[in-house]
Amino acid sequence: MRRGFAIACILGASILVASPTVAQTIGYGEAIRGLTAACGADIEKYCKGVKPGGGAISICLAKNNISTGCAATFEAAFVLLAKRAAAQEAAPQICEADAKRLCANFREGRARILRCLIRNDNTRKVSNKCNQAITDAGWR
Amino acid sequence: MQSGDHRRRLAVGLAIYDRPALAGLGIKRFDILEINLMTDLCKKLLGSTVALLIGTSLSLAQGRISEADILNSLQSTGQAARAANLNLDALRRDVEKRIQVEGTENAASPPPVLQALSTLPNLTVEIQFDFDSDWIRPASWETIGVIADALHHPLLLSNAFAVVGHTDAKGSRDYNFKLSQRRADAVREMLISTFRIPPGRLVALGLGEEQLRDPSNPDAEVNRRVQLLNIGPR
Repeated sequence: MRRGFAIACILGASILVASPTVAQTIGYGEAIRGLTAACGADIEKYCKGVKPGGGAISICLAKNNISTGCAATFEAAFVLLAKRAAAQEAAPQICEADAKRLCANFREGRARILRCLIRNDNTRKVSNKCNQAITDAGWR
Repeated sequence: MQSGDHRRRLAVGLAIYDRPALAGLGIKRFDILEINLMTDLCKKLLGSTVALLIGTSLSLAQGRISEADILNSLQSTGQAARAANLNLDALRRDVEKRIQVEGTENAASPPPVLQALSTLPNLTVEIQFDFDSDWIRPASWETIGVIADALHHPLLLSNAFAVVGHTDAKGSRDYNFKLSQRRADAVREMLISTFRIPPGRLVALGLGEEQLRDPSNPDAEVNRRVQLLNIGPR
């Protein structure tokens, strides 16, 4: 349980960190790593056979007396994952002007323009919003 | 009963198709899962604690592999583009028919369509299921989450995947075929419903014990695997 709290704290703290160079989101792999550490035992105990998706696991956990660490981790992870998904959705639009300005010579496809935008020599020239969007999208 | 029996693992192959452009980033399509792309994918995947095997024909023990290994294994990825026309329904029917014919199990040379599959760039992962079940154990959710992260990266966004499941040869061929399909479906379903991969990017195919990784040891654990196969853009 203590471990679960620690993870929840880390997840929660990362919401508060607002530096453009730090992702204010997490990826699925990272989220699941935290969740299985905090909730794996509860899931095996109470939700065996319940298939993830559509909130099935959270509904199952909510019905049972799960550890507070698990509950907190779950909640924090959802916030951060939703934010990442939103960043991935929004990044192309947010970065459009930067891409036109800095990466006009790059052909489309194979993420060439993304790779242009995240090049070291371009990071300072790219707008803060675009930099943040790319970071939050987990594409760095 | 061995503990491995409780955690029968499935192999799933994914085939990669195209997806509409991310106009703002100028991401239109990716012809094949090229080396750069795989390198990036591998960096992501290797960042996890999950043991992964990556590469067209790479066969290493579970564990970290070097970038050089990955590059070597991916030098010929042109197969992917040609695979875009791969008809998975037809393939499934072929396998179903083959299963009914005695003497075709553990055949030295698998049917051409399976041979074609085996030449595709692919990623092999270990997914733990409950014994005789398609319930993915929480210990393997992270693996699928990491795969999802990679699939959400612009380098792979225009691609779709086929999730292919393999079992070992314990039990009947027909049973294994069906179990592997259910398990491939479960992995696909998790990628879609939990990790927001658009359904159109994923197809699931169970191959049962028809494509053993180690035909000389048909019951070996190494045969139970999930593959993500790159079958090229659509």
